[in-house]
Amino acid sequence: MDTIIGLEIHLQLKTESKMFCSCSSQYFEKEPNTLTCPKCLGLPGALPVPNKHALELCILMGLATNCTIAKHIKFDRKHYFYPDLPKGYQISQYDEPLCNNGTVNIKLPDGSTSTVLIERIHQEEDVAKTFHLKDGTTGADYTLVDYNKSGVPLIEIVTKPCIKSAQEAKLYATKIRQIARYLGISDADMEKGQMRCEPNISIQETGKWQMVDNKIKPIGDYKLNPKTEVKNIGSISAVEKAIEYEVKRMTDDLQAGKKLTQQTRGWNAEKGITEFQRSKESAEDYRYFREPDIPIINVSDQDIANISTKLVELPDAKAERYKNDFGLQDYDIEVLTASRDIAEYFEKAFDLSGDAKSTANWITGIIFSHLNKNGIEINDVSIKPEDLAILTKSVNTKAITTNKAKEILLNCLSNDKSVDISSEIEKAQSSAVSDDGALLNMVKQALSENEKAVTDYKSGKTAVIGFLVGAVMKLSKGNADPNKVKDLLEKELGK
Amino acid sequence: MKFDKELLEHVAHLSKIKLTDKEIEEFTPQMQSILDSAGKIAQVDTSSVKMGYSQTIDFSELREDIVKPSLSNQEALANAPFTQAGYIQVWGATFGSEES
Ligand SMILES: [Zn+2]
Repeated sequence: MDTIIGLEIHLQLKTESKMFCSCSSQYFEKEPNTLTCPKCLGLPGALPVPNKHALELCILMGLATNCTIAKHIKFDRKHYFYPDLPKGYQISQYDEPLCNNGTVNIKLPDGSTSTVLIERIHQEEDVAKTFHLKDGTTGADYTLVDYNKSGVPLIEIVTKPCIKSAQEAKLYATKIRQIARYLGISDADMEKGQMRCEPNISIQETGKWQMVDNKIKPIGDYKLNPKTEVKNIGSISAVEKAIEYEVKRMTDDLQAGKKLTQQTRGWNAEKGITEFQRSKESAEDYRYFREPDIPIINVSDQDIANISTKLVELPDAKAERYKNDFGLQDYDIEVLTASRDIAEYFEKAFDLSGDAKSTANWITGIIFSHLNKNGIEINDVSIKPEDLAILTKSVNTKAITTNKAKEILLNCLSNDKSVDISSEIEKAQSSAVSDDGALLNMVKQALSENEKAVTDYKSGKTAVIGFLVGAVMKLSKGNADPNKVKDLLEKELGK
Repeated sequence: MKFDKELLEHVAHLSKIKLTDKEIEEFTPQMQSILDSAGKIAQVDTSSVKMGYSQTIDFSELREDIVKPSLSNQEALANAPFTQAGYIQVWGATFGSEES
């Protein structure tokens, strides 16, 4: 059996105002129905006025995913009947999406790259928030509606049915979230509903189907199995789990001789299962037609050029540069480019220290384990890129040892407040100087404990010095500067 | 286009209304005649008419992303027959867990 997946991802755009009216789109944790107007309440006669910035952000996502941008923007009405949709239709785009035919590369665990084909990205508006309840005394069903979210700008990114596994779908969703956050077009937090993933899944017998123009076609008289769409997925990891569950459910049903039907199912995160919601409505049922209240919007090359100036270096390009310019390892690159904040932290620290590898090591090692342990973000740590650069340089100029630097770093990280790294380093140096006497004692101890090595050295086998340095380092529990130890040893042996 | 009983039931389902058998008998031929009547438009020869957009605007003319004051909660709820704790209230199970 082959698994065939297409993914629809909705992203709420980070604009100040709504898609077709000037109400604030910052609805999170606001009192219900306090961010509405006749337009987003769907009152008769209210005219929608498109938000330029929202369309810019949609185009930006299209450019970042190698899409072709349409020369004209046309909106359509998508009709369905539900209280979250006050007008009785959603303003969306049907046959002429703003962005077409894009690609997104994802890295698979075996190190290979897979290209996910994007069919379209279109602009639309979000719906209201509904709560379904039951009357305490009569038991009657009712719904409470908050229209604050109604009309918040939304884009929908639709892939072709080219994804072959649950894991690939998860990696793709992660990549879309990463790109959206790099561009700053959406916070893309699935828990907050700013990003929603809806996979379309079908299973087909291997060798009995083929892809023609990115559509699944049967071979011979094979009858294609219908697909299911899964909604209510609240996290990236649930994307993978829901698809795995659905593939198993469909496989089991087929083996039990049951007929599969096209349907929409909801992911139940608590139970870890998908549940039947409704038999899928087809495109005709939405009675799409052109939105007559919004004129066609011309998009010129100059408009695209203006928007392009807001493109930033994206994760793939960054990864390539980190590999070619700095020779960093794949794992380090992945960690450093995971978010724009981390990448910017790294680049700033590198600019000041000039040492990419050490900077990368500090970040992916000690700093990252600190972030993970405390569940915080890179910009929350007390060590700033400037501090890290000073630390890196101090090690490189041998002002302090790597071990000492590690100690300072750990110390500063566990201190929530801002730190004065220079004074920490000075303190370490002065204590190292005052420890010179102790170090000399260790050198003397090492020499007296290793008479054979001393004899060897004096008879010309000077390579044995390495062994003696090791002995002193062991006595100092790794805290001594090996070069200094070597100098002291040579001085003592030369007497 | 042929409009039969099954199609009527599908349209009723999309419209979230329930029809009795009597209504289905009554409405099916009515819908057929409405469709036939509207279908006459399709017989007009439009082969010489060029498809065009009546009105266009430039991207730069679009509304800037600036917030303006919204209605107050009282104003927003003024015409709602039922409200609860600042929400608009809609009665009935029609919109809840249909088919589940
Ligand atoms: Zn509004």
